[in-house]
Amino acid sequence: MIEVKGLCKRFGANLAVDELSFTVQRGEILGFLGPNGAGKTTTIRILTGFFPPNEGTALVGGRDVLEDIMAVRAMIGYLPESVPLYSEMRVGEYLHFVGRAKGLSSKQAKQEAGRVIEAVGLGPRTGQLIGQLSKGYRQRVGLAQALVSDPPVLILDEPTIGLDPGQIVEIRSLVRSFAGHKTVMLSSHILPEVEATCDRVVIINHGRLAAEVDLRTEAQSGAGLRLVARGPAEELGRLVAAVPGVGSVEPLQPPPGEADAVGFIIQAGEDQAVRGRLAKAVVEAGCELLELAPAATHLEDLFLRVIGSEAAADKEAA
Amino acid sequence: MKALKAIYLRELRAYFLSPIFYVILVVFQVVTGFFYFLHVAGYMERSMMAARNPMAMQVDLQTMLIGPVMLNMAFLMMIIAPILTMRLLAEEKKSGTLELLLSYPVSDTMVVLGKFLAVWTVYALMILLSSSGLGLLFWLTEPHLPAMLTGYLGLMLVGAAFLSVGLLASALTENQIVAATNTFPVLILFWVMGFASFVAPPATGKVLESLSTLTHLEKLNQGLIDTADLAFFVLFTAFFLFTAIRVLEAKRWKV
Amino acid sequence: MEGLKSNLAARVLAIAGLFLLGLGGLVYALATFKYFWGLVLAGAGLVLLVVAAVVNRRSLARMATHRQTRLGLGSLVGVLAFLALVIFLGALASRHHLRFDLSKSGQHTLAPQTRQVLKNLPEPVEALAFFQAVEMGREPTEQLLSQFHYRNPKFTYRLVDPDQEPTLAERYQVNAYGTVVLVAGDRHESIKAVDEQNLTNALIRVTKKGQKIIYWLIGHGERSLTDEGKAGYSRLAASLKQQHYLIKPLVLATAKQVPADGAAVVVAGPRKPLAKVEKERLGAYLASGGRVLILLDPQYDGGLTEWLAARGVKLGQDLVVDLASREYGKSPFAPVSAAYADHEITRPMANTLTFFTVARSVSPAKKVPAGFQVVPLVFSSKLSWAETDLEGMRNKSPEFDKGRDTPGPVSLGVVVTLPAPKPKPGHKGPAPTAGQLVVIGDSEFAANPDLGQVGNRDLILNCISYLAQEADLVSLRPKMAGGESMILDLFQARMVFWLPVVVVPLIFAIIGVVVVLRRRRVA
Repeated sequence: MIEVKGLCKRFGANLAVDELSFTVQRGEILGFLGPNGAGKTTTIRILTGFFPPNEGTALVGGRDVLEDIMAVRAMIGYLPESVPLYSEMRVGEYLHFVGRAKGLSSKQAKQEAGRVIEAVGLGPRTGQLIGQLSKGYRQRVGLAQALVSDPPVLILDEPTIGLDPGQIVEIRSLVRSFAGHKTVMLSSHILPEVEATCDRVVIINHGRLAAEVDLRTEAQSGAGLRLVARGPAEELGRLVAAVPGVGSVEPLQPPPGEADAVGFIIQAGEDQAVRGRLAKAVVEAGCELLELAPAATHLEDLFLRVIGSEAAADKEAA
Repeated sequence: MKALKAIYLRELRAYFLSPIFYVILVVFQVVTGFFYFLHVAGYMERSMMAARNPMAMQVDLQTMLIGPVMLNMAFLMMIIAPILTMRLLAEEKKSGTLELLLSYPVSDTMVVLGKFLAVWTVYALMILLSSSGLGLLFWLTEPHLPAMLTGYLGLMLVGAAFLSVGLLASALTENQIVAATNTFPVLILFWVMGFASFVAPPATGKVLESLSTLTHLEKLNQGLIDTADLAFFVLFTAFFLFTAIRVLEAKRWKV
Repeated sequence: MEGLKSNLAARVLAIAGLFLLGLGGLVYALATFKYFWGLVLAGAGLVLLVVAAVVNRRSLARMATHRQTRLGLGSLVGVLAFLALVIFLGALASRHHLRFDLSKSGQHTLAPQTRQVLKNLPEPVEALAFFQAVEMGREPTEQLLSQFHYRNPKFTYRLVDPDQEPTLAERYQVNAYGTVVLVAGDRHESIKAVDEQNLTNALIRVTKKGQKIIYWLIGHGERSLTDEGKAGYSRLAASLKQQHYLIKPLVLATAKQVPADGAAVVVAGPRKPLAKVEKERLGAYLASGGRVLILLDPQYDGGLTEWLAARGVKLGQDLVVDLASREYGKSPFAPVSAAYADHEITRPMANTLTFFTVARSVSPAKKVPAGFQVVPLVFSSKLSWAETDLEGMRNKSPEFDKGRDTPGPVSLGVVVTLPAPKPKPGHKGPAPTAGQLVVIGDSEFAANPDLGQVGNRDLILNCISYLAQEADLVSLRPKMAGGESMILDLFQARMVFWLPVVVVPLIFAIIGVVVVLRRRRVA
């Protein structure tokens, strides 16, 4: 549904997006990850046609953002990061205006406004001025306007920022409910959120594609085990690899604050008994076992690794 | 087209719901009303002189009362127009709502045109709502309607020119005050440019005069429709709106 | 982007082309004549654009498809191109425009006669309107000039501030704001009271080729046009020459009649009486439609007293004493005139003083021959009278003698219009014009020392140009203003204040407060 190929965007001498390519399948919920300033918002703005790319192409639903931006915009529902709304308008009025601006007739716009108000749970606030709403409700209005006219593609830039936990859960489940029938691009820097809602993740850094992870396949094959212990690194590595049932061993960045600790990601297949054997082996070797758990935070590791290696590469370059 | 209408209606509603609009409207009404009163007093004096000595003094309602009153309105509008237009684009750019608006199937042209038409409508309403005095003339004497309507046509056209300059200034900045303070001198400049024909060399003077809003307004104000004047205002407005659209795009692309 | 860089030359060409296109448009719009050069310039601009396009055709093809057009070229060049287009369209619109006059009085519409004159304008005429930069009341003149320009672009005008361009004002002898000078080739005409009729007539005069001939009667001690002394008229001669008059001496005793090519005859202060035959010839000339100006000083009647009386003019055997002259530092024997009859000669002279130097009264006679029209032209002040006791004045200062002297204001000059001569049988062409005679009771006011006095030159020149004017000059009824009189009663006057200044604003202030308050509430 979204196809980005060789995308470049320069702001003066600064290259904000650099040869970026990725695709989003129809019905897929894509997590769009990256540290602040990585070029997420710039990429999104190119997709919504706020500005054109310097090089490369971006297609939404087969339409080029340069050639046919109006068709692209008609397919997209967009929630910008800062949720800019007309604070002097009432919620109902505003959503009605959005429907009209998206090309609906007055009657349709009214229906749509009612529908999205229902969908995001804004019912009691319909008559209130947007400027008087709390942060959470503003966020809902923002989401509601993106949903008006039922666009096939949703691009949400940090949709849960500033919300309380209960609201976050609500929004997440709402987004999750789009799975299969809407294409969603969810930009975020909150990893658990992405893990919880997305099918696939694209990580970018410095405007370049840093990693692509399919969370569905990862989940099926099992994330493996995460083992952190204190002791000599090489010896531990050999020891762990020797444990029966262990498939592969990957070194892991030690957690911050425990510099002398050593970490591994261990793939052990379906064999549950391997955990016991691992613990025993480490302890028997005279090392301190600090952590042994299923590697549920795989994404975080990956993210940190990607960002870290990039940072290291930058350091070397400097 | 539906989007253009939506932007137009939203903008219009925003004006009518903002307290500033009513403050400006009332100030405009009081000031133009007072000038109207003074002009009527002067005209009445002339009428009495004309009644005593028809050879020495003649009265003409269009050139001596309606025209001057409408020129007063235009001059005041030159001060008010920057205030009406300043927030149109600058505010949307600053608050980021422009980004959201442009994620809908809406082009920059529609945004600029919708806003222009809205502020032009507001301008027209302000003129209309401040015309109670001129309306009274139908009761007090016999105004010549075609000439009067030509005067209104002039007011509408010069207003379009004023507002298009303001809209361009609003597209150039995110700061409303900067937009207004940039618009005002430009409008004054175009207003007085015609006087330069006295001091500048003849060719330059003529160019400046033909670019002056006042030069073209004066004929309409006196009940004379000249297609050259209509073309001037249409082209003037079109140029500034076109530039506003281009600036709105270009500014975004370079940020 | 690379395409653009490598084709910098093409880009420069394109911008130059746009510039020429715009410049051509400006020239086309504003040049007085030869404006086709504007089209040439614009054409050159177009050629440059085409060349630029050909040179750059490869990247142009790419641009046309997408990106570059939307990026680099999209903004600045786009705006410039649009500007060029706007200027060109504006030029076209100002060159080929239509006007619709919706005013009640038709003040923006020229009379058919004027349009005819403008249509047949043989050469370009420039009007210089002398106004102060901030002067009020220049609009009517400006509008009139713009209407003339609209009807024929060969007629152009510009506003001149005489204080800014004193040499120009000097060259055309402009001494009052509001003067309009029409310049055609090396000829010019100035108009002080600018209205459609005067402007049209000045236009006729200024574009008329050839010189008008004035016959100057000699042989009786008349004032001499070559005399540069105190009694001479050499300065007047210079002024007449400037106005393209050719002056020929006329010896009426030897000529059988006044030559037919003369526009007027001037008899300026004869000291000896005219012979009978001369008077007869002069009378015949007048009767056949001739134009005569006679200036007669006190005590020298040129033997014309009877001759004038027969034509309805009473030549006073007196001397006008004017006490008002003292205010201007003049002798009481030099009457001051600020009062003129409403006549074409004196109409432009309102508020202009004329200083006479020893004048006699000239007034309409009680008995005017049938068909003659005699009107006074110029008067002395109210403090003046016509002193008849010329002998007594040698000994004592003059006093007004009731009964004997005529009280002021005293008429110092008259205009006589004779009945129009009957056309001869078989005569074709326009009907012959009526003869006209102007008599003024002083000749010294136009002599070298006094010609420069405020209105003196205007008076004598206006008399001559009035008498010598062509038959094809137009006469237009002045346009009436709308005339919507408005005199209010107290109630109406109150309404005029209260409704627009108080009531209506108050209503909208209340509406505003209600709307804003309601807005605060949750709907």
